[in-house]
Amino acid sequence: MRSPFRDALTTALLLTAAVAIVAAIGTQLSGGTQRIIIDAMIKMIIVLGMYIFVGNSGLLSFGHIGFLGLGAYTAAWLTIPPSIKASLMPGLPDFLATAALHPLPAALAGGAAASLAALLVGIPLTRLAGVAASIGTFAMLVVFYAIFSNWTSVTGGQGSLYGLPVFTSLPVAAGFTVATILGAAMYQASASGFRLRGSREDAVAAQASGIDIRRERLIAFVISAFFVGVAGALYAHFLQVVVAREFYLKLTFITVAMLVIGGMRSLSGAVAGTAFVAFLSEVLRQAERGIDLGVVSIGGRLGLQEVGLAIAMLIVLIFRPRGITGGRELTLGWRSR
Amino acid sequence: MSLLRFASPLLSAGILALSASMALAQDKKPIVIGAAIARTGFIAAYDADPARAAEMAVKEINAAGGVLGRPLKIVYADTKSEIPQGAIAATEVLDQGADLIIVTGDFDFGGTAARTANAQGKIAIAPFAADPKFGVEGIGPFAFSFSTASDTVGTVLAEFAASKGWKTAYALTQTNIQYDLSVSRAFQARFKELNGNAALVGTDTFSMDDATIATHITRIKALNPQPDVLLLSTFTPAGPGALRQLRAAGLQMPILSGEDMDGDYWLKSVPNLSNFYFAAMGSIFGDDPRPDVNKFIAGFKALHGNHPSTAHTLTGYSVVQAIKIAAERAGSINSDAIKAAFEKFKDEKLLVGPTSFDAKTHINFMRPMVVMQVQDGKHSAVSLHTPQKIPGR
Repeated sequence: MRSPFRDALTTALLLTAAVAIVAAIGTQLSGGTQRIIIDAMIKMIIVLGMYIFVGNSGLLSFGHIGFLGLGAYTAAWLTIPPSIKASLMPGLPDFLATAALHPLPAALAGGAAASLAALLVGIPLTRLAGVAASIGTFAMLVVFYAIFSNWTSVTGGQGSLYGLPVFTSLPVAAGFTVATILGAAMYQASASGFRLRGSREDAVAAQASGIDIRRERLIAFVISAFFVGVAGALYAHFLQVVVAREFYLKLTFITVAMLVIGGMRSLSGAVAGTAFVAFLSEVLRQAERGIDLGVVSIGGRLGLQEVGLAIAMLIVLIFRPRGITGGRELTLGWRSR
Repeated sequence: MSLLRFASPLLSAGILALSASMALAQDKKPIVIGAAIARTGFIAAYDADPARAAEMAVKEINAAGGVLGRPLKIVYADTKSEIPQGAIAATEVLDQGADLIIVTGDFDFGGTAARTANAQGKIAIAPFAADPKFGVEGIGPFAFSFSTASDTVGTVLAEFAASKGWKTAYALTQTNIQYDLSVSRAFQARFKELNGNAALVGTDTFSMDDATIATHITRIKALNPQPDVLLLSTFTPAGPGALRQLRAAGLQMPILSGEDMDGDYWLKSVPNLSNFYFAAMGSIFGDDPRPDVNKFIAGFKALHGNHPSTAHTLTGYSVVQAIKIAAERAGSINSDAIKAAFEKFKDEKLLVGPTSFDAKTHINFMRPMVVMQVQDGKHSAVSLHTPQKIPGR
């Protein structure tokens, strides 16, 4: 019998190789292109983090962007110079107000904070199943947003927090992406991951086999929040600004769309979906400025990106309703499934 | 020797030299201004007219020989009214060889693009960011705003109210954006300085999410005596709604607002509005006390068929004017040189008004503003008002 860890590792290594190639090519490209690649990689960490919970449990989550925000705010609390913090966030407790950490530990702290929040929220949330659970996660997003945008003395409210050091370079983003791919693959291959997927396929049968579904869901929820929280910190250091409205519906929908389009039941799907949507939206954005093919030049049209993306998503979902990968994993070709 | 024989070689040499220098100006690489602004999304409405004004300035300057003998050129990248896209748009225009960049006039929405330029040591100009944080403190040493600061708006309104003999005031503030909060803060401080602490008879806040401000109105109506003047620090679309509710409730006292209520696009929603005043960087209705502003507005109308949406438009023109002045003084378009030249600006005469910068302050405080009024649904300029003292400065 094949070891699930070896299978997962094969998939992870193939995906890692793809990320590494993109990163290596990216370092040779212009600053603008690099930013686009970094942005896509951060989204990939978010989508992979979501996949750990969504893919394995079968419950769609609309709340993970709340964890992203928490990670970003944690990074802001820990890395913005204390002199700026004093005027922007007068309500911070002393140990945060005086902190001036390096972005790397701050990113890990962002992940830990998101995990802790996931643990607290997850205890009631994992009691729910199906659509109710998804609506529950959406409610969580709304609560997170309300806190971020109204607790002015600690989060800056509607205004933006600035003064974050630059950290998220292309190699850093690629490194974290690879770590997340490995983390997601390891969880997927673990006994807990198996039990959770069992509950996804048939909850009654899983329970009859002695699986504590709530416990497994909670484990996946906490792990997935960790990676999304880290992504939040990376995002904060990428934008160098943290503002509440960034962590709400728009990013929620684009990341959920990435996961669904790629195929939310496989790790490869999460990666493929992110890559596909990110690449397509960039191509369309370039097309907005007009395409010059030498012989013919096609005039640009502002707003093409949004419309084109929606059409492409519809086409994918009509012809491949289970996503691009259809829930299959990327493996070495000669091995039969 | 006939004069002609003597003169013709001289003349032809002169023509040759002239045409050569003209050809040189045309051949020379243009100075590229990168505009990383919103061309789609909800901010696009704010960015469009200042960009048009900048294009007008570029055209005029190029017709007059350019800057340092080089023509100006604006290249664009769309931020899509999204904060993260700002950085990408800025990198794109810089990749296209932009010598300096113009960003969206807002601390949040223009900030990411401005920070990107700053990190590369390039000048980033927000034509109309009114938050004083847009500058050295919030962005970096290469960030400049050509707007008049929000503190000035509140100050001008308070001083105008005092000059009208209005002794008591009530401040109603919308809390969704920093601008309204800081206009209100400055107004309250200055009004108390001028008329005593008791002159501010009450304050209240509302949010865009509030469907009505009926409770706020009830509280104002409960005051006896009624305040002489009401500050309504707000922006559209919530502002006109609030204004209509106040008037419908029978509150007829003068109402003051910041420049976010500039323009007449919302006026139809408050029929027969009277006794409404706001401070703006200029009048877009052709009756500005300064003739050069009126000339600009007329030119804009001739070109685009309508007057600019708001007076923010003036800043777009002024930015290009200032770039020319700074580049010619510095003899270079290098960002460090431009920065140094900008920081020596002392009441520089630009379309939007006298403009000064120093090493710490990259936005204008002591610049006069036009107080505008609406009477019987018609806009007109009241006066040009220079702030006397800005609270906290």
